[in-house]
Amino acid sequence: MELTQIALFLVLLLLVLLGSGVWIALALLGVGWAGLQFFTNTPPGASVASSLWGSVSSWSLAALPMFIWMGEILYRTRLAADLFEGLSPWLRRIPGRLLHINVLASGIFAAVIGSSAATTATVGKIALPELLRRGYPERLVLGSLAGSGTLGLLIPPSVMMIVYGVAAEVSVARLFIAGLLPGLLVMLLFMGWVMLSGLLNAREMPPPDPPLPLGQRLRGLLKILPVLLLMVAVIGSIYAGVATPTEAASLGVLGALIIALWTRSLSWPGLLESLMGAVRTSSMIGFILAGAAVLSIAMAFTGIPAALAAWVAGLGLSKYALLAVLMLLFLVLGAFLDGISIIVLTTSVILPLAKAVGIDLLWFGIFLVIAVELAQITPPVGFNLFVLQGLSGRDIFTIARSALPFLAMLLVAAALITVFPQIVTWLPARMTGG
Amino acid sequence: MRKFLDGLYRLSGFLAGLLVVFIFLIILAQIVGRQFGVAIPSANELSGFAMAGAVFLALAPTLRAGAHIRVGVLIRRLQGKARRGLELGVGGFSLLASSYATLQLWRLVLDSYSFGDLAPGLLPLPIWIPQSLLAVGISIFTVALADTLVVLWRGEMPSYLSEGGGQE
Repeated sequence: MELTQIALFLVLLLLVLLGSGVWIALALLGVGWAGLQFFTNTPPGASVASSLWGSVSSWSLAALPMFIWMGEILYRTRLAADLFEGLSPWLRRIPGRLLHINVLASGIFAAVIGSSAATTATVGKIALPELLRRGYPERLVLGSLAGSGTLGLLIPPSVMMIVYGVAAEVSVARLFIAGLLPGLLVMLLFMGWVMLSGLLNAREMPPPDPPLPLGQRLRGLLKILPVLLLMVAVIGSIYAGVATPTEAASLGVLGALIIALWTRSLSWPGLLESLMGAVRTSSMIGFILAGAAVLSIAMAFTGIPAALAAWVAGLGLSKYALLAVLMLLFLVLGAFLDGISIIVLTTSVILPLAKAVGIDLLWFGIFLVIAVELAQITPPVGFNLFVLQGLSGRDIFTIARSALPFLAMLLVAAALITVFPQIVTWLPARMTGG
Repeated sequence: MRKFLDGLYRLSGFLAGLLVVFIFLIILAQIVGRQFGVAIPSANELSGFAMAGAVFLALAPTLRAGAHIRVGVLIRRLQGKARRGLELGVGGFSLLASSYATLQLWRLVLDSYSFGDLAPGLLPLPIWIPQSLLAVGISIFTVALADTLVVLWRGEMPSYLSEGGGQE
């Protein structure tokens, strides 16, 4: 059979399996098996077993349950409420006022939590009721929450960067550091939009609270101190080359435990539940990585990715045109697939193509993570939307519509890092170690 | 039977939890040890193995909790007979795929055992030991899928498959 026909058959099989609701990991495994069994001369059994084993028995991957556990512990503490109280007195005078809390608190939590759904849930459970109670328009509150939650993936630590780093064999430490400036850029863009919408919707905004005396404001900031220390310890140690991401993650768990004990916000059942929550999420992600590893090896044996790379290289597209096409593809995929699946499908099929046209894999990782952030807020499938649906009771399409400006800002960020790749590569180039 | 199976899934999840705690402790030990010039032998390899074991041992309880993700856009719109039919088809395929993976992982364990393969690193650990954690984990997962299928066949909808479960 022609390679094109084989590729079409496998894509169709994948679509049928995914579309009918087969668990993603098993769908990837099934397509990988079919590729090996029908279109190569290798007996699939040994390849399947060794990919399953090899994909998850990795030390870098051990950072995953640690970072998720850290987030699960922090979710159960009072940190989000403290953050709200500490930040809000400083934001009363800026256009958009307390709506900025969604961006700032998400940015800060993103720096200690690895996933965007967890960031959205942690910030949302405090900020959503508080902001609505104070009379902020629901549309703006929901939109900025959904959008800002995506910062969880871009600002390190990031579950998606660990998955990409492990699957694409790129240093997780460097990916983390590479995400810092783009993360700040996205925060600035979001805050810019919040200011603008605050001015545009001035009549819907509640009257400002009277300003607090400086002393009280500074005392409020003290409450943010623990989470800031944790943030500096985790990211700082990676940047300085003192700790690997896995080590920083374990220290992070320790720090989160200390904060939880200090503030007496963690009971035994709570601790156990946080651990098991982390175990389940890690298992779900690890299983998808394992299934994707089978698909990857099948792809490599059939030679489809290499042929695709050669074909696209032959088209003579510019790098920009190719990236635009890829972003469009990610947007379509992102409407139906979750971020992890998009990343593993990309690393199995598209990575050789990116290499062939000379795209830096570190930079591509950040580009991909921004694409995945978009996927978190595009309906009908988007994790942030589900989280906010659970918190607010609004349906996901309403939430997605209010998050639309933030989606646009993310696209602007993707365009900016494409035109100025230094935003991504400048910091990691200055790292010690990693 | 129901009690036994639920206990089995819980035990499997509990072991996975212990492995995650093990990763946490061994990495902390490594960091502390380094300050005093003491190296924990094969700490990196051991935490990688524990990670693999945790992922696979937690497969079954994660399935029961409805935390494995799938694309539910179509299946959630179906109701009654159509829903049940598709769930049975999905369950059947999943059982087949998982059984196949189970078989291949046990083969890997047997091969590593008979060739006497050792883990890389300082500690000469026979690699079939961590590999068998995966084989055990996916075996229990296969049992859980069969369990689901039986429940579906009887005409009931397993709670973790319906609305809350199978988050996408």
